[in-house]
Amino acid sequence: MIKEYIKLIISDIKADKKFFILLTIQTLIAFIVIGNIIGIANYTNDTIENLDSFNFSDKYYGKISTEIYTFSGITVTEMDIETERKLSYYIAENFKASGYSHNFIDAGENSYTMTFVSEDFFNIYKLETESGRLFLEEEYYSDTMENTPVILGNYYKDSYKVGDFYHNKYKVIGILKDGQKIINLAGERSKPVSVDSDVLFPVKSLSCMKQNHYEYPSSLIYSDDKAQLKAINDYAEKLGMYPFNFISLSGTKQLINHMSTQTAAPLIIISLIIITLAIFCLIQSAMLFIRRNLTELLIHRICGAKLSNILLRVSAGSFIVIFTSGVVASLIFRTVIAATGIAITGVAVLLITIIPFAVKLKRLSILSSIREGK
Amino acid sequence: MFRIKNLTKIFYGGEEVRALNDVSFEINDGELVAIIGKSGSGKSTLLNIMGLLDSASEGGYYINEKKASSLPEEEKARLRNMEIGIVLQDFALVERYTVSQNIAIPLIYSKKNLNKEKSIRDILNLVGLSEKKDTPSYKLSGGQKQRVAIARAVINNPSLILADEPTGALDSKTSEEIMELFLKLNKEGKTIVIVTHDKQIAQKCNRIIELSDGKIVSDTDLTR
Ligand SMILES: Nc1ncnc2c1ncn2[C@@H]1O[C@H](COP(=O)(O)OP(=O)(O)OP(=O)(O)O)[C@@H](O)[C@H]1O
Ligand SMILES: [Mg+2]
Repeated sequence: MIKEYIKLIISDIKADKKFFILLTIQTLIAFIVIGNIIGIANYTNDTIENLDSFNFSDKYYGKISTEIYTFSGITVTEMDIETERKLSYYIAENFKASGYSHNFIDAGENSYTMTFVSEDFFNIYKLETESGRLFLEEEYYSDTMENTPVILGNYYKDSYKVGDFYHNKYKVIGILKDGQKIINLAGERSKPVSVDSDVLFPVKSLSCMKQNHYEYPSSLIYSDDKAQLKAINDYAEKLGMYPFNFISLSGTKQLINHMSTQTAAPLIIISLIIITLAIFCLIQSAMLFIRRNLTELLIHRICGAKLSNILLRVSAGSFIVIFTSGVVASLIFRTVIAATGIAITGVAVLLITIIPFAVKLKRLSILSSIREGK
Repeated sequence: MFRIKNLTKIFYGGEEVRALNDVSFEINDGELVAIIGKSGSGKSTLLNIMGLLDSASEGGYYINEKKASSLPEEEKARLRNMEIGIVLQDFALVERYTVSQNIAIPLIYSKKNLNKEKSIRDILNLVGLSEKKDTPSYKLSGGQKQRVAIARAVINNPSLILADEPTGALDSKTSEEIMELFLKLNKEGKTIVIVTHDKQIAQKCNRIIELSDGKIVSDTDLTR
């Protein structure tokens, strides 16, 4: 007669419909906050994991800007190309500059981007070719753009073969494997970036780079002296640019952890508060339900209801509230990890809500309230 | 078979009350037993223990040689639902339920596959409350409530029926009818224990157990 039992539960909940709807909204908000916390934690984890997959020396530093200024109401987050280029020459003259630099070549319809890479670029990012080969030692630092070999990202593999000429000028010597990534050390904005659509050029001599107005590859700076790095800051300031900070791989990881903790901490506190309140409300509503219906519940016991039947009836409201808001929240996030986190929280909340009643109902003698009720 | 062995029930709280004091007897399947005694002699206490609503302080209550106190909670609930029908002295009806809702409570938890509508209709006919089927219980008279309680006790077709003053609030004609119902159920093989003040009711039973101050003072077999 499970049907009768369900009818009973539905009528209980209908009696407190508005209250349960409000509670569902409250729990939903808590779950959404929790989903966000999980999202942040998950993103941080992914980023750190990605960073860890590039296990290069902590002596490489990336530059991150520490200040964003507003000019005539426009927020300027990028330096202008000219200044950036100048800075890259300064770095190349005074330090070991590494990494890459993107140079946009504006040739009307045939515009393209040249990505110059340093000699240690392929070692740092452990990139491999699918066909052809990487640059040879002697192909770096040449003084001319004549006979420049290029390595193409996997995206180009159907348009070019090794031996073809890219833009009729640059001989293709290799095609990269599909799905390879590099990373920019840029603080909390560090993200793995695909090289599938890059066209890689070996870095030329500094004078050749200057002559052609190409930015020298200086996304990474190799240094073991922090004081040295300060000199770049000073120079950048002279150029009228906002100051930089320099960050290593481990520094980036620390920063990302720090940033995500800072974002998540208040969310955790908020969600704890909302959940605690929700638990109080759920317990309170179950308590009121029992108080209002104790005689009825015990009469059901006399007629053969099991303790578990009663407990289920008392906690059905809580269950439906938590289940509904949990499902809705999971649908909002649509990730397995968020759904799992929400489910675990939901079960915990339900248990915290139910256990006191399980204990209470178990202790209650069947005849007690019928006497008290009189 | 139901066996009460050296059963003592003490109520604590304030002063100690020995509601039952070393009571022993057996009831065989199919018996129709009346329990009589002055007010406060322990009749309801005994019936509640037999109905698995209360437990003994000392001694034991055995259902088919199984000690009630050692039965798991689940099994006790099952027995209350399917094997024992109890009419409490104060009826124990859910006031806001209608007559048929009250009667249907045991069916909610029953594993017997009874036709709910038909069972309720039959039982209402039997206790003469067909017209009151949808009346909320708080609108019923004492006698009508008593009949609802009886209907509820028997709806799940239990093998043991315990009735605490089932005719206390009824006029003699209705009492007679209710007693006829119990006699009929007894003929069908059900074991019935009735607590009563009514000598006439007691005389219709096979056996009369008299309690006084929590002790059995007489146990008379009327069939001989
Ligand atoms: N829950 C309880 N707490 C304390 N004392 C109780 C409790 N229930 C019953 N008693 C006491 O136990 C004794 C027996 O009570 P019981 O209800 O069994 O009597 P009874 O024979 O059914 O009386 P009546 O004919 O008036 O219904 C009484 O003295 C009563 O006060
Ligand atoms: Mg009594």
